[in-house]
Amino acid sequence: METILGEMLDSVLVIPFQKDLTSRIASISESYAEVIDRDGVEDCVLSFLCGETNTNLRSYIIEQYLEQFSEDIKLPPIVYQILSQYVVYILINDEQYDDTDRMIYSLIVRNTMVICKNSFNKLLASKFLPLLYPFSDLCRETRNRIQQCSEKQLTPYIFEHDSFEEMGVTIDEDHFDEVKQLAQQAAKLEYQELIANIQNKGIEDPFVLAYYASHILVNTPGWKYVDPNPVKTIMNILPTGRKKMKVKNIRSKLRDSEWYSGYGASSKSSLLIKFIEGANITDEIGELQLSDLEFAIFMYYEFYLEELIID
Amino acid sequence: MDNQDTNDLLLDTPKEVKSDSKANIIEKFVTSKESPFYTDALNESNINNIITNEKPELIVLFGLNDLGKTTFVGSLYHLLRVNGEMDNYNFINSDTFAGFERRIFLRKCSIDGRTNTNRTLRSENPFLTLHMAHKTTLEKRLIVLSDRAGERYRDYISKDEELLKDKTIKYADRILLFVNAEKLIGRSYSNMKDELRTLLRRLKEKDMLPILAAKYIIFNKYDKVVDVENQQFKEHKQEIVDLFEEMFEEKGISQHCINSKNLSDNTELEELFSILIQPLNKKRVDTSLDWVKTAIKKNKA
Repeated sequence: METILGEMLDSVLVIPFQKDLTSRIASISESYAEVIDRDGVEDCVLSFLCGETNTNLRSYIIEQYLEQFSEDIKLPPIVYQILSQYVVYILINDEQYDDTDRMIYSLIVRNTMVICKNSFNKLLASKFLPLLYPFSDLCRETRNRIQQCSEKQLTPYIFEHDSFEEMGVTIDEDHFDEVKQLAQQAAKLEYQELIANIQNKGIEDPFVLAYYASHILVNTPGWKYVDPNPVKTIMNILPTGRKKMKVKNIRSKLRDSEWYSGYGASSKSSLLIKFIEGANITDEIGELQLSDLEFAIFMYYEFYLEELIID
Repeated sequence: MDNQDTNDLLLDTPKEVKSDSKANIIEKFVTSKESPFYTDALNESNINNIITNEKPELIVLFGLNDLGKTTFVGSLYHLLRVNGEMDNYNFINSDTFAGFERRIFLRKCSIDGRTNTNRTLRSENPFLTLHMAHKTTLEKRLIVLSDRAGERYRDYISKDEELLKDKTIKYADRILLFVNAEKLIGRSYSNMKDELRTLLRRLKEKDMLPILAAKYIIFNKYDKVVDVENQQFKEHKQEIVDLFEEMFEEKGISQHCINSKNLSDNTELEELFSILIQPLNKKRVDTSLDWVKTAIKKNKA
């Protein structure tokens, strides 16, 4: 991991740090990763994507450096942004951390990226950013994979009886995969009905439809067990012709709509939800131009992250 | 100063300047290892402190002593200070005004023929900065020039420990390869070429050449060449170009024939400065950074 930090730092420094300095700050950053919570991770993400000062990380590095090496350390502000990125890189890519947490952190990065949409060329150590994205999807795909069960002991008979007793079957561990598959298929069917219902609501404005659909898809029980590819689902729901609009205009449109319902976001990375709710965040986000499909996908993952946090 | 604590730039504790004869004061400023100015040139331990929100562009002036590197820097600074702009960029600040002024002074000494002081000293800090802002977009750009004493490069020929200490050449975004055009003809040519070859080979062996940097071969003091059409001169010039291209494993490195001292109607020099002031090709944006677009593309496929 230390080599990764060296590469990240090289992308911003005029000349590289001495190896032992890199090694020391890598080690302190790794210990910081062990002690922070989601709020701390969000501060790290806002630091390396938006340039916000990460005072907690900065204080931690300065204090620990003095404690461990009996020396004061003064690093340029940009280095703290890189260290923030390194901390998040560790938390997402190191298998010692909990899968759900890793998924949440990966989503925090992706969701915050909305603010960088027009300034990708200004991102620091940008070649490492795509390495922070995939975990949430990989994890979701693994969890949502429909159980494959070829041995059907219950399904052929269950329609002909009214109880397991009547069937002469005692449910045990051997039947678990088959029962799980039945449950998943039932949930999938309900989900498909839900999608059909959304399409039949007659919501004409694609941005209102995008918001409504993403909200409903995430908030419907069972959603997370059946849809390994929400982007595809959203693409199927929205009309095929793409429209673009500034986020501030989307907000006005939504707030005038009967299909809009407020949502109290708790993650700092849920920038669109917060902006639409009227939170006092950067005007830059209002000026962003998004297509209805892009808006729907960003919204979906913001709601998704919020639900994961609540869970 | 932009976004920084000026105390960060204090190199050494300023020393009290003892009363001295006027004649000696200037010489002392030039030869003093420690600067009394807080905006003097920067060194390896504090150059990173100037970074604000983007990696600066590092331009390394490479070459042995007496090739006019310092005069070149002094001329660039002089033009920027006098005009306040160059091409599409305004000169808005520097962290190293005193470092530049020192070089301007050396440039003047060089023009006046005061050869005892016309060198950048071995121990002098090498880094100088230029803060530029685009006239229309206002986009800021920070350029770091590395003007190291030619004697230091000479040390690299024979001393491994000195060579390995250099962290600048390898990380250059652009490297200006200085050659004294005047010496392409005459008895000293062969010695000059051998030294240059040895220096480049040693850097290459240690994996210290900036292979990906933009390279410029600068034939300086071109005005002193008596006959540029001389066959031997042409052959030697080509041999030097071949040497650089062999060592950097790159064909077609751009060549610039200049006189870095003269600033009146010096089109070649001004053209070169203009090239250096412009940013290198804009950073290519990795399309995979836009994860939403990537997801849409993947699902369309």
